[in-house]
Amino acid sequence: MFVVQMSFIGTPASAVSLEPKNASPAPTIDGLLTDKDGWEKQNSTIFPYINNIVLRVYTCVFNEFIYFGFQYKTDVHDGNESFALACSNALPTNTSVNDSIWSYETVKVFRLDGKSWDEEIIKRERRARNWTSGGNRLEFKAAKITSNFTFYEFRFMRNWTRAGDVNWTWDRQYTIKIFYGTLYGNASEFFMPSLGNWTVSTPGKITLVIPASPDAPNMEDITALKFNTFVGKVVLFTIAGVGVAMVGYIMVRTRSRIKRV
Amino acid sequence: MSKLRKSVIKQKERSQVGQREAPPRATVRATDSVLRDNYLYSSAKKAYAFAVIFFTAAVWCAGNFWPFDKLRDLNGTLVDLLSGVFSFLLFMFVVFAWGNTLEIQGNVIEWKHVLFCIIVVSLIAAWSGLLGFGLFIFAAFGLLTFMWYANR
Repeated sequence: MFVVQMSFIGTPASAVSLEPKNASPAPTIDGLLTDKDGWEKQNSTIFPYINNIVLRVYTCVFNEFIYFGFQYKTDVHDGNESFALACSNALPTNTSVNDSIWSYETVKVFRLDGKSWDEEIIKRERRARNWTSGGNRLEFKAAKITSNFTFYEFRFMRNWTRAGDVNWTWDRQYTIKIFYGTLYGNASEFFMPSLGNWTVSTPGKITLVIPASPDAPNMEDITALKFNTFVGKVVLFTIAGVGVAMVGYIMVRTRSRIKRV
Repeated sequence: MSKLRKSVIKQKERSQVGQREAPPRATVRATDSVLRDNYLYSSAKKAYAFAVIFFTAAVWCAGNFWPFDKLRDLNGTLVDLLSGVFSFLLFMFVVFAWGNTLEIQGNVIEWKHVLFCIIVVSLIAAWSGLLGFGLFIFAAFGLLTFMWYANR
């Protein structure tokens, strides 16, 4: 018997929550972080880590789908880089879900090479399900944007009645967790991944807060006024600059007065 | 009144008139005043130079321009804190510069001046999140409280 030593993406925090809002329009699942209109308007949470490693998680909801975008930055990317989103239908207070990947009902695994795997694990079934490129119910794209960034974006059915899958309804909170691995991109590993091997994860459990309703405000509506643009920023900074310059003008005027005296 | 007495009084009056009409000479007090004004102006100049430096730093940091956008990805809290610190230092040095200038003019800095500075700096600090803005507001009011009690 041995104890798996977990290491974390992100500094341990007491509670982390992801709060997807209703997106309008929804981001395009094209594997491009450059889809700024789609993703940059969405809520995101950063899991900073030492050694220049950062995981930023974007999330939003659009009708019956929930969207996630993982932006992963590290100096050296592993060729078999993979992420697993462990999902449960349990409330945050439920103690039956813990930091182990086995305690989650469903896991959705994504490889950098674009392959994904989606299966219930509550029964620890060993079904011969292949890695796939996704489908209607789970759409996925991955991209290595630069030498430092990779971006995984996917969407899946938020409230799917399939037994053992996620059943996330409006105005509720659920427990999820994100795992990172490098063992699952091997082409020879044709079938499901070995779930027990995930030894890197986000610290603690993550609370996923589903919006109150499809009509709840989206990110566009609750953006900090309309000043939250580059132009708005520059205008307000310029006004502040004029204020500071005014003090300088008063000083110069006072200096000429001293000279006259 | 004897003639002698009258002449003494007239002499005194003449001498007083002469003293009043004499051109003003640079007294020790006047020289001190000029030195004081020069000192205040020099101090105001230095404070204003620092204010300009911290204005640039605060705008760059709170505006999330490069390289703070990269740093924010690594540690957003640190960037917010830095932004709050820069904003506070900007506020402090602007108040010092303006205060010295007003003192040269024979006035003192008043609440309206301080309020103006708070509004101007808030335009920048508001971009640094609740943490940075809160830090600026608390530090600014801390400084004002200190100045209030120091001058009582």
